[in-house]
Amino acid sequence: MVFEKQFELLKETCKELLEQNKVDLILGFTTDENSSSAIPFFIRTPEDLEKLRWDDYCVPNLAKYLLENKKKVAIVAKPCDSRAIAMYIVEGQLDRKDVFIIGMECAGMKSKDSTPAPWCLECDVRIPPVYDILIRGEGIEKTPEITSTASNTAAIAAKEAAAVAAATGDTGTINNAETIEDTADTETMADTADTAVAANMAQSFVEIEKSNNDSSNDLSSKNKLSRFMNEINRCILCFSCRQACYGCYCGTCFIEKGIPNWQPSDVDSGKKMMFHLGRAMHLAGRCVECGACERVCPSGVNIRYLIRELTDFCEDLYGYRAGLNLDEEPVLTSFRQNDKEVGFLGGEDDV
Amino acid sequence: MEDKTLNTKNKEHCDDVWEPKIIAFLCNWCSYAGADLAGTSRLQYPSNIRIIRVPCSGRINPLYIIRALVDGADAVMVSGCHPGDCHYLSGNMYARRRFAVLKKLLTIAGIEPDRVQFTWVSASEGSRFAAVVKEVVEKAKKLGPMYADVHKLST
Repeated sequence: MVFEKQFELLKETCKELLEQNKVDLILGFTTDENSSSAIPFFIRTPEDLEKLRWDDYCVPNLAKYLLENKKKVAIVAKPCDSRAIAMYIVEGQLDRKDVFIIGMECAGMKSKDSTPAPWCLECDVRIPPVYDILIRGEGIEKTPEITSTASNTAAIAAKEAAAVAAATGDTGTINNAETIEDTADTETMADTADTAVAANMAQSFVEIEKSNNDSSNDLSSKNKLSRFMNEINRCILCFSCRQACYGCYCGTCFIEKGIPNWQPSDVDSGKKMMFHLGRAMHLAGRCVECGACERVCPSGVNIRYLIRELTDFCEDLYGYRAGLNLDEEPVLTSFRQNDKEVGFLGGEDDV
Repeated sequence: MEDKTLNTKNKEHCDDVWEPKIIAFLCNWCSYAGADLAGTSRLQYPSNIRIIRVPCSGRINPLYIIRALVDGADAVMVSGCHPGDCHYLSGNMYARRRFAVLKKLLTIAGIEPDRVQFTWVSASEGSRFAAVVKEVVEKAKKLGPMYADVHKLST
């Protein structure tokens, strides 16, 4: 099993870090005593490592805890956590040297009901783009230098894996390289080490793609509006999605500001529309697809589909995907002289 | 009693000749001056727009536009200097990306693309301003009132 091998290596790494006093704190996962789900865990002593957990239920995004800590912290980072950290660094919220990133290769996590998490099915980043140490399913990889990869992570990851394989002459890693190259491809995903999970995931992935092609591509405005209203009608404005989201780190959220007051008088649908559209706009091109918003929602609102389409839009139009490159400016804080005028009056391109 | 009659009367009147309410965000340096020129040149354009003057198209918070629509504006129009002509050098370049993304967002959420219009009007383009307003108003009239669908769909 991939996770068990990784877990052993992770434990060793954490122990080493703590014993050599390289970090004051390690952010990881442990098991909640009541619900047996994976919860964030602050590791301060080597003894704490007994309770450490790493398996395919470790879904929470830990990156947000980094902002509260002023110490030297190590963090167990899945690709989505790593991308979130990269965004913090790019956005000036975090210093790269203050954080030690233990990158974990991730084949996709599971929801509480043992089905593959829907956001992981849509994700094709399997290797954390930024890390100090990378723990793959097959072994460990250390990088003393700051790493950053270009936007085509899958290809780069495959190249890295191939290089490692060439260096060690290990055929197992070569297999791994091939699988990673085709993570987006559903057929080859069945070949990954964890066959059962992968096959399951691949099937659901095909189903999702099918349903996407059937419904959401050519919806008229009315259908789109009814889908949006369907989602937000269930919203109870508890703001859990905002609290869990890595990107929502503003001191005061716009929806809670008194001056200017963004809350429309129509509390029912108006405030929900304002909140969700405003939040989606704030996350445009910044979402790292960790699925936290959907996971924490008590009424099962999926507002992620809005942000997801914006992510694709930004990638198509501006070639930008959040958190993959430490040198790239976020899409909405930069521009090019020849940006396309999409959606402009009398323009050629429509949104 | 009298108030009620008055209200119903007004409402009926409104229903008969429904006119869209359109919020226009114009940048101080180009588009607002363009609107001014349209006025001083005595060009006729529909009176459905309510102009809000902003320093630069880059100053327009996307939340302004969302809030205007949520509060019932039938359309929102935004106009700034042509790319390259910005008074603050690059304000409209940021705005260009922001507007494209915002329009995409609103379209996914089911707000018709024609309700949010972005364009560039320079200070010397009075006639263009009049033409743009005419076009925006025509499109908004075709779409009908903003909340016709939303009210049906919200619980």
